[in-house]
Amino acid sequence: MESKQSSDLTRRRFLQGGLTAGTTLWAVTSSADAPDPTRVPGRTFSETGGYGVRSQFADESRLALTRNGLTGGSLTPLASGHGIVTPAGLHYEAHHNGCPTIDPSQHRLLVHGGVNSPKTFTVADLMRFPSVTRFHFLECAGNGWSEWEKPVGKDVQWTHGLTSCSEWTGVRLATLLRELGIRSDAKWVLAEGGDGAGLMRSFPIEKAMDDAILAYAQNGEPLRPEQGFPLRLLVPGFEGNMNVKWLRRIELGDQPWWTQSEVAEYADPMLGGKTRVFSFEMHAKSVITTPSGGMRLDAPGFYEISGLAWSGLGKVHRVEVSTDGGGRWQDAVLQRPVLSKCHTRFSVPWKWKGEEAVLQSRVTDDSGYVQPTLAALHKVRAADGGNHNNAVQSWRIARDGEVGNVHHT
Amino acid sequence: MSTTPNAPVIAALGFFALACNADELPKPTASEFGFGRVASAEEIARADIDVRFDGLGLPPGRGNATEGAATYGAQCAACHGSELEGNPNLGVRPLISDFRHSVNNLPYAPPLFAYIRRSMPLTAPGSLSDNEVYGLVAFLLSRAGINTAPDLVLDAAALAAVEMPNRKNFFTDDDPGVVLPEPAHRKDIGSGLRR
Repeated sequence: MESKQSSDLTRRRFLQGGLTAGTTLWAVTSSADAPDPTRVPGRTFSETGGYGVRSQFADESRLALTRNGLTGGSLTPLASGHGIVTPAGLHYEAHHNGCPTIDPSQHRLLVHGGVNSPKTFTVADLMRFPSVTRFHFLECAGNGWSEWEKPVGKDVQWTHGLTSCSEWTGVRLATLLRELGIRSDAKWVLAEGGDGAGLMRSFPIEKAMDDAILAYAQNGEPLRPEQGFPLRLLVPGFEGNMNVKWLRRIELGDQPWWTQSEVAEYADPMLGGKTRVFSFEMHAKSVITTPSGGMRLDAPGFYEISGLAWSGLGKVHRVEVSTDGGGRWQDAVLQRPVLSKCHTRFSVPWKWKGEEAVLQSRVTDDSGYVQPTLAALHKVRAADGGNHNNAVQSWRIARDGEVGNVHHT
Repeated sequence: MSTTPNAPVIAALGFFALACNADELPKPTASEFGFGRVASAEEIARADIDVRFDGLGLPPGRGNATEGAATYGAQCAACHGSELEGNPNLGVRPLISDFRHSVNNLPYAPPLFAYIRRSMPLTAPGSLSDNEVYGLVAFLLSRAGINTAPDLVLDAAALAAVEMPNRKNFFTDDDPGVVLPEPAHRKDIGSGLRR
């Protein structure tokens, strides 16, 4: 991985520096086994079976972290990503009992409890309602869990790979609930998954009426099984697990449920033995993805510092970048579009002089919230924390160009 | 679908009002689409397997810690350990410990029933009977030192009445008197992190 990322970076520099060098590099990549593509016919139309696959030379992959194969997660390779959308096949996963196989023709969503007219819906039923399409990030509550006490992850896939961003299409939960008639005592919404774990989370009905979506499509095609095929809840900006996958049931009630997931793995340990529950929103966070841990700068010169920023509260308002460990900050350029509760790409040009440097980024969202330092989080959260770790990330660049993960305050 | 020129056309169909601003979601009105099928009471009862903190949703049935110990040995011990010690190789934590997620540290007991019933055992979720789950919860609460009489029968009323000692350490942002030490979401409370 180190060498691949290193060559990626080298390739970027070549491409920016001049076409000749870049062409040389690509020719090396493509000539290993294949014949000269200008001298032979290409693949036939039928070889992809009607659904395209990525180039055989593209090999980015998720990194699975699991001890039993069924619970745990896999992380998105953020360093090799471009723009703001995550390819569906690289979207991070978190499963509580594996990824189920669900026949969409057999799947049903039951909506009951505090509604006047409880109903079951097929996916086809839901597709008949007016649809909405929105770009939103999803971030696991535990993204960055390993970095709480000391720097552990060697690269940004490990430290930040539990966030991804997609275009989602579905029907607004508000549309469905209004259709069924909401009783006046309905204050909380329970969502339940249709997999072996049957994950349950509850949240205030205000969120349902605001921007929650029952999503059946991701990046223009049906949801991937790992993202909840054929139906998932999307509660934009809320921690990943609340966006219940394989959604089979929604119940309205007059109080929160306090389900197992809400009081155990997705609660936040605070100082003094306290535990905070129902901390839904993923607060503003940013990370530099290039250069980042595991990469190597081959020589002093021009590099574009690029990364991702997002906020569960709204839009990214500003991203600042420091190359001296937080001493001086400069505003990064935000690449359009800048969307609410969505990854935003930022960049700053930089000339590395061959000296030691510590790269940091710091986002401010449009609520005025500023991404905190780890030291600031440590003042309020317990040592066995790890959920909602949105601290500023530091990448140290050594004199030899090696980029490493450090805690720098 | 949310572009301005189309809005009057679609709205004229009488279905719903489309948003004119691309950044805003369409605002649905209380209209009748008529999609879906009315759910029967039996259908709802079959699917309604959650249990709330106050015991709402607990089914009929009963079990005690002795019965639960037998069920535990047959259904749970392979992963959770014969002494509830967990199994690091499988990523399974001890069931009774100082760890925050342990049974003894839960704020309420009834949701544990729902969790075991629908999610456990991992290899055959949903396979335990209500009586077996009552027994398991009685066994776990007994081992946690919370409900220790081995023959004490746990049923819906008894489980709802269990007081978990760690409840006092749980808080939500909406609790009276809570001043969050960090930026709030549903409460706009200033902090050192905001500038």
